Amino acid sequence: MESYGLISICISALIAVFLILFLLAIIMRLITVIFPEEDIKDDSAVIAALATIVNKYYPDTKITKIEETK
Amino acid sequence: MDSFLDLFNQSGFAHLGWGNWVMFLVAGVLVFLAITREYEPLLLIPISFGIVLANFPLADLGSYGEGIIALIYESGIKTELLPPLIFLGVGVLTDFRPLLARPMTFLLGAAAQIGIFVAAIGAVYLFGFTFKEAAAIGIIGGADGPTSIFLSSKLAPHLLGPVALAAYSYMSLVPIIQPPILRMLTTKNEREIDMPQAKPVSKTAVILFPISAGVFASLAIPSSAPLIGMLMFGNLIRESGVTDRLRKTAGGALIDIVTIFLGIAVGATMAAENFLRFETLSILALGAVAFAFSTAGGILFAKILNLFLKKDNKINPCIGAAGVSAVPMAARVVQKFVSDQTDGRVNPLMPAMGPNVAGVIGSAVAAGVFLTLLS
Repeated sequence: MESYGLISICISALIAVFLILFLLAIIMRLITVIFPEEDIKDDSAVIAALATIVNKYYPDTKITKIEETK
Repeated sequence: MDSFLDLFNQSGFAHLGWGNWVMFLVAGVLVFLAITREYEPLLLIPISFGIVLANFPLADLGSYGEGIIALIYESGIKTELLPPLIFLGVGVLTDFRPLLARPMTFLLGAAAQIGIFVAAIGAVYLFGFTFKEAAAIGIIGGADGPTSIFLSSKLAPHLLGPVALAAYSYMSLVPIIQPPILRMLTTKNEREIDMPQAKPVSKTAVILFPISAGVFASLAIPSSAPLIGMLMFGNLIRESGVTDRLRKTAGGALIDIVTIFLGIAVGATMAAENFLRFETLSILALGAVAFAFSTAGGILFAKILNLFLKKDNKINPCIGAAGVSAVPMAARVVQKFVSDQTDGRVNPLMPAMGPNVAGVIGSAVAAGVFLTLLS
């Protein structure tokens, strides 16, 4: 096997690592596209807790959606 | 009096050589670093005590002898049993979601393996190691202890001690090695790139990942199957949600037991006569080179990727440094470096975890390729 030459072995190995991880990336991209995360429904317990606080200051306000922004 | 002298002559004290004292000193330094600096204590403590045990004259506690530690070495390391079991535990403890949310970071994990090949080439052409020895030395750049032990036990078992010591020592020194390279290779503007939060990944995708990755990588490079297969098996145990008892055992008691056996058996390969050689120094030097090139490879490849990405999708090139594995320390180092450099405005811990866990897969694949081409 030493007849390959170490440099050619290393180049082959580096290409193989890139190729395999690239193909894994494609496989994972496909899987995440085919099985996307469904929209997370707002937790009713969180809504109830927030509503209690908000209603203290703004009576009759109804919370319908919780959105997180960065 | 004669019997007392006879007893003394048969004691270890009478046979201690300067080499044994040097090895005690090496072990002492490792214990000091493990306890005071908390550098990889779970491994450095067993390794350093293994060094001490192996250097007791006449005690026959070295891995290459016939005592009880040799039994662990013969049945646990030579048979390739222990490193894959560590990978099983690592799979249980690893969350691949940051990688799945940004599949592109797989490539950073690949680019950060370049140090493996640079060090391997240097080992042959600068220090005259054989190809097999060079591959075992180069894998230090993968920053993955079990992979280093796995490959060197197959290709160059006589170098196992120095290779494992270099791998774990440099892994623990990531907070010292990486920041200067990050500072040198990235600009202030690049460090300021704040990557948006990745989309959440579905439960189905998280379960399909270990199955598909394990099958694909093991079919592509069968030599890497013991590592990748066990890594993905562990991850499936974690993510399936129905094997809680297995998850707790593999990620707790099992990995701890295996770590004790692996650490002490690796440490016990370092008897003075095996370790105190010029080649050990050259292995330590090449390990540092491998780490530095792997870090640089990840950063530079991220910069190349940025040339092709739209402005809103650019990646912070610092996360490429996390591709060297050393999970999760390398990702934490990147996070701390970027946060310090941006006064806390940018905190890329989760983006850095992507290449970090991709690096584990990358180094295992690299080891598998070396095994295939050199065995």
